[in-house]
Amino acid sequence: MASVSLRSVSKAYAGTAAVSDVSLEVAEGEFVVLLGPSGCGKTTTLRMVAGFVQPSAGSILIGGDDVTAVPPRARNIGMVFQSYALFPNMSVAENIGFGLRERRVPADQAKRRVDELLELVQLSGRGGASVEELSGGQQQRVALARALAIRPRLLLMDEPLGALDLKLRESMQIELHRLQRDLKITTILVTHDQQEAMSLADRIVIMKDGRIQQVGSSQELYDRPANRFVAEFIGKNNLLRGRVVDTGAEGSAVRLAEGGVVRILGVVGRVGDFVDLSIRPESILLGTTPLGAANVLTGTVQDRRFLGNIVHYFVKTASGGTILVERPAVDPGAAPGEPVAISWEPDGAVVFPVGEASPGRGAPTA
Amino acid sequence: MTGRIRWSSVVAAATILFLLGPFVVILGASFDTGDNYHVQFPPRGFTLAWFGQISPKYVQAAWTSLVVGLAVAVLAGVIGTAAALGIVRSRIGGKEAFQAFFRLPVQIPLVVTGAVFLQFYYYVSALTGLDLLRGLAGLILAHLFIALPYCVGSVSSVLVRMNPSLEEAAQSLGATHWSTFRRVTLPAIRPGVAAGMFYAFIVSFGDVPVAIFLAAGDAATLPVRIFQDMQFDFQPSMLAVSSLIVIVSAALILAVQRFAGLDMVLPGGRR
Ligand SMILES: Nc1ncnc2c1ncn2[C@@H]1O[C@H](COP(=O)(O)OP(=O)(O)OP(=O)(O)O)[C@@H](O)[C@H]1O
Ligand SMILES: [Mg+2]
Repeated sequence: MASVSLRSVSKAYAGTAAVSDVSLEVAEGEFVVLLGPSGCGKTTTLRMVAGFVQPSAGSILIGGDDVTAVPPRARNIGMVFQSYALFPNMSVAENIGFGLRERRVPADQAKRRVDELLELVQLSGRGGASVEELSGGQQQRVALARALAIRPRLLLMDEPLGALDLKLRESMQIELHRLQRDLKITTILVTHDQQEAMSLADRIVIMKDGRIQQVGSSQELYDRPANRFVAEFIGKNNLLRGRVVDTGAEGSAVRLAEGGVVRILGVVGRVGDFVDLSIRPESILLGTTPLGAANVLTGTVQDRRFLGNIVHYFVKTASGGTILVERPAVDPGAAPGEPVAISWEPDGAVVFPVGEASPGRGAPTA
Repeated sequence: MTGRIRWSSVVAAATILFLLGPFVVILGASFDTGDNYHVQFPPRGFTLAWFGQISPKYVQAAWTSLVVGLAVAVLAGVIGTAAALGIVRSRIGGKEAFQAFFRLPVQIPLVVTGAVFLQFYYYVSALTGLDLLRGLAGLILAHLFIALPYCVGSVSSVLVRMNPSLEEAAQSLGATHWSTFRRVTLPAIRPGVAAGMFYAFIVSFGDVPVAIFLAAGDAATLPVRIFQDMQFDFQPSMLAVSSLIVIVSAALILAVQRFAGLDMVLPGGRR
């Protein structure tokens, strides 16, 4: 197993940047997930680590060795492709044994290793099958087994579960997580599915427009998003625009576009600056009478969605914005059409300074 | 639906009849018992006598055609595959121009190609003393010229549809370029290569306009021989030769179909 370092890595295609100045340290045995919207440069970053794309600038180190100029076949990396890329002219066992044969591993030893991997991915006895007669999930396992057979220093996966249906994807996530733990193999996985990223990663790297936005554990990203983009991308979120009206030692006061003055922790900018408050739906209390917390807005329940253990309330504020509130189903809550008070504590909001943008309206984001 | 005529089915049936017609006539006439100096169909009896009377010069011509055809198929297969890899995989722009260039030989009337090659060989001979009109090398070269576009085209069309991750997967598993080609790329493009070699063989085997300039006399290919005899000295045994060609061609098509799949062979095939 090996650590990976990306040092100021960039890639430009015909002048347009696909990846810009990406620096990242992945520790030995760590599971890192690159997460971001389509076209943000995840695949390009992964392919640079694999060696299929040559960086325009910067260097890549694996296990401390600079591999920037090393061809893919000499990097000793296991790669799982979104399309699986299984060799259609070979059986399952031949696919898994491909890298061993290329490495001139003696036949009996190779056969033992292939059997070992078939067992690892729960396909014992299917070695003779043709890859085309396997289901999508089984093909996925073969692709994984083939990548692991060569005992790579590093495992790279590009949307490996993207082609599977939801149920299968969830069970494969659990399996992948278990395998990675057991083998302690350094892993970088690419996905645009935040649930998948959160359930697999030790650390998540959020990318946008070729740049890293934030690196951290699921919880860090959720509780302390570094910017508005991360706050909106991870989990559900209400963004409320406001203007600082007072700064003090024990926090600041913000006049919201939604109406009312609320308190936030710490000092963000100066009086008169615009700020965005990011408030998670579950940090907001809701009741027909004001419920204790320091910051209060009033509104009307527009819609109520029962989701089993939780209920989502869409609350229309006096100024017309909509705020999403998530409450346990056991709470008394309120019915659609009822006037309600919603409230949150100052530490329930993360605050981002806004440039010279004009005040906007708060709206829940998915 | 009852009672309604499906016009498309009628047209399809008529087309099949039209395409099969000549084969039926030739096969039938070659079994005719009469001693005619023209094609007799329907046959008035059945005999295999004409097959026995096929002259040894036809056997020799068939052998020449076979050698030339196979040589052209192999050379076009190897060179066409290499060229297709070069074109499809190159990262440079102007691929379309390249592809158009490779189609050029198909656009030239074959008679012109034959005449040009003849002049070219005279020129080479005058310059270097190397006579490409003796032996089969000159004919093979000219046939390669007209057959190569088919090979480049059929291999390219398979290559562009191939999942590029397959080769990357092989490389990440430690395969060298050669090993990747042999174990991954070639098996994937084999139908295209087989189809291209098949076209090449057929183009060479059926050619008259080029071969008539480059392979006269003892080195005549089978169709050239038939063409010349047709003009001056028709024999019923020539129908027997034609029947054999039809039968062998059909067998060849079936063989290629099993090997490469018919869809690789038929549509967009011979232009
Ligand atoms: N070979 C290429 N030539 C030109 N531009 C490219 C190439 N590969 C990627 N790009 C561009 O680089 C940017 C990043 O692409 P990349 O494939 O890395 O995105 P991604 O994050 O993997 O997206 P997705 O989630 O859609 O797979 C995109 O704008 C893309 O158009
Ligand atoms: Mg991608």
